Amino acid sequence: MSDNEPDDITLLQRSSAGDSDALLAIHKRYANLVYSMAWRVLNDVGLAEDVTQDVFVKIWQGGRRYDPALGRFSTWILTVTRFAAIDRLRRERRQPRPLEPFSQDGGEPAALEDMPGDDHAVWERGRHLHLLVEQLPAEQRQVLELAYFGGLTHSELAAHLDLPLGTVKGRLRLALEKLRVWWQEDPGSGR
Amino acid sequence: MDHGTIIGVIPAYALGATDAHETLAVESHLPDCQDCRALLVDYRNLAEGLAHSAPPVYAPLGITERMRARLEPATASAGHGSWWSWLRRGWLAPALAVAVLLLVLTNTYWMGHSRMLEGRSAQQAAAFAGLANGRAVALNAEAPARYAQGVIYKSGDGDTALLCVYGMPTLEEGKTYQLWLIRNGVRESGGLFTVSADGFGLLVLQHGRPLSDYSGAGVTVEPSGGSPAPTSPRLIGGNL
Repeated sequence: MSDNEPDDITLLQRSSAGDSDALLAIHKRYANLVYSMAWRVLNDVGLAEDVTQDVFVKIWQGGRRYDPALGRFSTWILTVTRFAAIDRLRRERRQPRPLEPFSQDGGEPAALEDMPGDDHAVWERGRHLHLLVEQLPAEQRQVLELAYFGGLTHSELAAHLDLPLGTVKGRLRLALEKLRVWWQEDPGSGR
Repeated sequence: MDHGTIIGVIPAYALGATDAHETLAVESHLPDCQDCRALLVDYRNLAEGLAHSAPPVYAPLGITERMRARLEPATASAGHGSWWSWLRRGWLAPALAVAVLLLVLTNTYWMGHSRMLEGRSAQQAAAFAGLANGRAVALNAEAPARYAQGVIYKSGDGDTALLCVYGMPTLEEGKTYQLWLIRNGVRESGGLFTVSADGFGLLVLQHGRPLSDYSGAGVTVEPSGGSPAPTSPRLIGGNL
């Protein structure tokens, strides 16, 4: 984003006032980001695009409003997308699935430089965290990914995996505790 | 739930993975427990990291244009847009005009110089002029040509249409692209075309019926000379 281009807040304000060009400018900036999250949850090119467009339509219609006091815009829009994609996953009655290592079927890998925002360090840390997740024991990684990208709660995880409730709660807690420690010790480049 | 139990579910709560009764217990406990609030900050930072950890991928080509079409007035249904909504980019309108002119002139050359054919070319030129008041329909990419895109421009009276394709894969020798028009599940050939080295191509649709009779369109790769029915997967397609 060059110095001459409006920032995200300005574009959001304009789009809320009915400026479709402003909304499309945000779309152009963030479509890859939103699509990446939608595709990660849904693993379907068509559904991921549908959800991507739905997220921007909701912003356009004012159903979703960003509050800068709550954090980065990228985090906000990713959270909105994750919930929208999980909702769609449930409506389509599809099964959430963990990401296979190095699997990119349906998605052309994007360069981090092409992701939006001036702070590319947040993407570097995200990529590093992804590598840390891959180092978790398989059963812990599985519950973590199903919980986060599949939107499953403790009880839903137990039912989905046909495991005792205490087992899934323990695995999820251990996974998150390990990641917290690893990530604090080594957050990756960019910090 | 006691403090020791709450501490154990704080990580899951930060992810939104707690059951309803656990969520309620955490939220009741937090106002009175600074330790739990501090721990929650840590795990929310971790959740933010997870949000940015989804492997970044490129959205399908043309996604912003399809968003633009979706934002247009309700008279345009999804995937449709007016002629000018597709030609807002300054370079595209003159490029397309030149391409259409070349197509008309090429048709004139190959058909000969009889008075009847000259009249037909004049009719075609008039039909192309009618495209300015027409509608545009997007043809979306399907694997493996996920970066290809097509647009069918239909004239206002629906009798003339032009297919423009972008980003189509290079054809092997002995192959051609074939457009199919779909009516009641039956595919009728809409014409054959090739593409330039950068995947750009044009085709004036050939159809024996009013375009309004067809519900969909798609493009496949066929042997040179075309096929009576599709013999390969659809590369781009959409509803008319």
